[in-house]
Amino acid sequence: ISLIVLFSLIILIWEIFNSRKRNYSGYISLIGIIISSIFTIVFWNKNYSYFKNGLILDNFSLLFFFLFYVSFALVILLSFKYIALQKMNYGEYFSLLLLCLAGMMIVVSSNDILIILLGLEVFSLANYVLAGLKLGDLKSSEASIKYFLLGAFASAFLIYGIAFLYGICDSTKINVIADSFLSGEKINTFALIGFGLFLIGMFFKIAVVPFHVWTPDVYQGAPTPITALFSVATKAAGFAVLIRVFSTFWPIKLGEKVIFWSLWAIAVLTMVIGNLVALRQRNIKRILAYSSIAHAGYMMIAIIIKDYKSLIFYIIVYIFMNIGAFAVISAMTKENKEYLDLEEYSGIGFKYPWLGATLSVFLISLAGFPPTAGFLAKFYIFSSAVRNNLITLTIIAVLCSLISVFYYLRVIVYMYMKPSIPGIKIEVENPPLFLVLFICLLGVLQLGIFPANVIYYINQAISSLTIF
Amino acid sequence: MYYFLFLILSIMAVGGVIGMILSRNQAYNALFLVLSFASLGGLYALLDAPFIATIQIIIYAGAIIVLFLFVIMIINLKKGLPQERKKWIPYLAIFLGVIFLFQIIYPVISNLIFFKQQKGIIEGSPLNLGSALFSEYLYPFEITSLIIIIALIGAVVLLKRKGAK
Amino acid sequence: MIPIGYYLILSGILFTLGIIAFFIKKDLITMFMSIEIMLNSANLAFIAFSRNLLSINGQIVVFFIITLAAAEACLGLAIILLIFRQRKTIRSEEINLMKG
Repeated sequence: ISLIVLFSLIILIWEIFNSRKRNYSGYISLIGIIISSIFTIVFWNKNYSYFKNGLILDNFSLLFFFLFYVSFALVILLSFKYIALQKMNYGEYFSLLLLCLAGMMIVVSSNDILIILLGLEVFSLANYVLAGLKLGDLKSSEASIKYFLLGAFASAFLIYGIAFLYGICDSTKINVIADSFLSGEKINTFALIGFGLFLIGMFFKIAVVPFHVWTPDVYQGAPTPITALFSVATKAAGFAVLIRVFSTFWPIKLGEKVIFWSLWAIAVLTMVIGNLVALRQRNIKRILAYSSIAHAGYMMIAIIIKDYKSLIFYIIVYIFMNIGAFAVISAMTKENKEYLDLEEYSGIGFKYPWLGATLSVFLISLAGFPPTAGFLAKFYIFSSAVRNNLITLTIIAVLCSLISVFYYLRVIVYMYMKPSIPGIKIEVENPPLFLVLFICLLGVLQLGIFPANVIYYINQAISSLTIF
Repeated sequence: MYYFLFLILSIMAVGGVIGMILSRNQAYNALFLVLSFASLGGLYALLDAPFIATIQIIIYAGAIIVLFLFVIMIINLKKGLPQERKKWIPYLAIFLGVIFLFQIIYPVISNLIFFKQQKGIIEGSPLNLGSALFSEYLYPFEITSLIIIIALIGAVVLLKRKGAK
Repeated sequence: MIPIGYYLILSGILFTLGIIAFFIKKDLITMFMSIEIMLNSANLAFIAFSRNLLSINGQIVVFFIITLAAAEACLGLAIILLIFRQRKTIRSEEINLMKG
């Protein structure tokens, strides 16, 4: 059975060698994903763990496997047309994507901090390269250098934190650390420092406010499908690690107050700054970058109140909303010239009704209006926050989402109300893109109206979390 | 005797890093780095980790910084960079650094006595390191192979010349 | 023998020096070197703890971190070269095309 696990990773690596050929490497990578997802289905309810908890195949990791498969498949579909337009080379693009997927699978499925660290490095290295892949453009190399320096800086913190966590107990297994954490009476200051540093490193990866400086530039510089990947998959992986760590660590009695209030402050800061700065952005990618920061803030609330069910639901909804929005943006590309400024989007609603409509649906869902899943996701989190009597936090959160409504609608206003600028011609016939748009639309609306079946799976995932 | 050795090595390590901060010319920075990494290797040897010490010196002090020197040679900036940035940034950075340092060092100082030296010797020899590596830590070992693959692909992709520039 | 507290203090000093260097230095390569220093100080802390806990797990982790740092170094230098080839300079101030 462990063969199957290795097989799914081998598929990913196998893609690399045959994806050197120019044209159809994308399809091969898709086939690879489908095969590995078939294998994960086989695993659903049987909880296996290998390498002494290094690799755990419980429902939790399998659920995230599926989330990654979906988001990566959508990104690959998205990037067929995009690559042709931007003349990026095929071969390595898809192989790096698949390696990045393999890295994320490693991160999510392990209970050992060392392996989480290594998996994190696998997919962040892949991200550094992917960000800089648009060879000609100065911006994308700048995005990649900025992402690289800050990413390396963050992993240095992470490693230093792990050093301290290792110090209090001999092994790097999360549950072993958790026990020594609880029992450790004399060396708890050490554990707190290690835990603090570890969190700092993780917050860098998730781009929560005090550590979010790199996000807008990297999102703007990187090619659009990659930005979609950043905003969705990296965040999901980061939060998966946090869920795993917090679910075992949370009952610590020593730093309870300190950690609680610091997280609380970070959540508030993220939401406020994320939304406010987004107000005055001209470039649509930067707007989405700041909106993803704001969404990270909402997710932080879910972490504070330890309600992981709504957090995972929020992540799923977030994946569909964000990839849909980025899909439309990546559709707006003409011969290696992307349309990114707001003015260029004016009047699109009439010239390309199909694109305009889908973009507005996604933006509405991001803002959190009733019919769409965005509203439901936020509703879950806020209601559970109120239940845990965090009134002030929810008030701030609601205020921030009101602010966010403004800058989302502003884009829609631009699309429909303003007169269109001549000379904006984009290739319309782009079948894979429409498939992506359709899937995302389906996801957003379906989850919005009857999320029952998805919740069922999430409950299974949560229940399996505590076994190991 | 150990104290003496420890002090020398730690002074060399910290001195190397401070030298790197102060000097302008990149080549000097790289050489300062060699000094501090080599002395760190010595410290590892002091800590009963001979295998790691040799690896550190060979790989870190040797290969990685030589890589840096290659890149510096390729870029070969003539003069050192003039330091015309805003004046207060370095001082603010130092100030924040000291605060951060204090946060980390304080617990160590406070329960220094706790760290009485455990007796017993651990064998950091290649033998049992290798055996542990392949028995208990097999999975991370595989992941490192993934990391190296990505580094290779990335380096090739980014720098492949598309015909004459 | 020396209690490992001294080693931890040394690794703390090195780590903070790495952070300070990261913010002070202007050119990309030296900032990248400061990251290597921080990784090294983490290694030192690992080995100090492994000596204190009388187990070799720490050293194996250091072994992985060294390979990780080597891979990162190779990739980082490739990116720095890419930047240099496009812009003929690696001064960090010039690389701010996307402000705002």
